[in-house]
Amino acid sequence: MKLPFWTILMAALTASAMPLRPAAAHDHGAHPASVAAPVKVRQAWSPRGVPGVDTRAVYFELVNGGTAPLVIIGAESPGFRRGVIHETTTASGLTRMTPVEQLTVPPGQSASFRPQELHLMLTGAGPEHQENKTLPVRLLFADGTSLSFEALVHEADGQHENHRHRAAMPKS
Amino acid sequence: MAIRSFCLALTLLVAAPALAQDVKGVILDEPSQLGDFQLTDHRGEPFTLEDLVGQWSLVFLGFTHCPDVCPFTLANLEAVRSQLSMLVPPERLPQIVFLAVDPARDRPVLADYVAHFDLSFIGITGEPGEIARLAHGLDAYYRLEKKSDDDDAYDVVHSAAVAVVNPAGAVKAKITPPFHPQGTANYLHLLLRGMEGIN
Ligand SMILES: [Cu+2]
Repeated sequence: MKLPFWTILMAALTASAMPLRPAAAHDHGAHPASVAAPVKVRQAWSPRGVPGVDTRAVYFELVNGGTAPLVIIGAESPGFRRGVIHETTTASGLTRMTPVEQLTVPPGQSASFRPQELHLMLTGAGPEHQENKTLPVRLLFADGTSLSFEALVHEADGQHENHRHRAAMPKS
Repeated sequence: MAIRSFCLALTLLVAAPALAQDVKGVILDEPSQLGDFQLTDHRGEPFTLEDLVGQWSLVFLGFTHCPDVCPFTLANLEAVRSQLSMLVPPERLPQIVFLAVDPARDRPVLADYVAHFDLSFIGITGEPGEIARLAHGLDAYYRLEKKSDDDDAYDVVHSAAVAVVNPAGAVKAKITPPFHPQGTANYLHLLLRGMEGIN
């Protein structure tokens, strides 16, 4: 994988961990080349796992710096059976998580995955998942490309703001 | 029963303008008495109506496999409790009760769940009928969206509100998210203080 210098620099400046890195050693070569350089993930994190609970949420900001719409169709993470994009909604006092089949990020815009709005939901974890300091994630796009990054694992703090300024809208 | 819809933002605009963000609640003019129920707490001890009597409680309904809403709500409630500890004497500080409504997945992990968050809250769960009984009393709703027997990643649709239960074991108020710690603590402070002449 060869990237222009500025991309690597930007990634180093903006990512919380190591973006654009192959997700896991055991599945090298199984996927097409990584996504175009101007697409990046920032501030990726995941609340620390609870022993015995095999679900995790991952939050991040996905920036589409490219010229074409970016369509996320799914995600995967080694050690988890499934990765699904979920939108959390509260209507008539009831909270629910709704799967989002695909999410389009228009060029020049970004999608914010954040608590009680959008999250990447990982399910079916193996027993070791809550020990790790980072979670490797690979986002899958409609054009066959993917983007790998590592989400930093830390505590879920309270006091988050519930703004809704995201540019991308879920599309089913 | 008369329910006074009550947007605390207005009150707090007078009392503490900087803290008036987003706290919404409904205060029941006539508190709604809870009936008895038989549940078990995260330590395996029985938890009944008696455990809600004699002190204020904040009861939140959720499930342990909820990765996106429940951890943040619990963290916020813990922060509320910590803010409130500076405003009210310890005996008035509400206990935080997490009613886990998905016992098949919740029961085996509830002790770990409570320990994981290192919070003061009490996790309770039990037989589905008993959970339903307490939820009904709280005027809360939940539904397990299990699609098949081997579906182990199902969602649980549930009420977002936190019930404020008074020392008589009656629901006095419901507050709705987001639970900003400072604003919510002020809201509860006013609520608890308003009760001083009554209990
Ligand atoms: Cu989810």
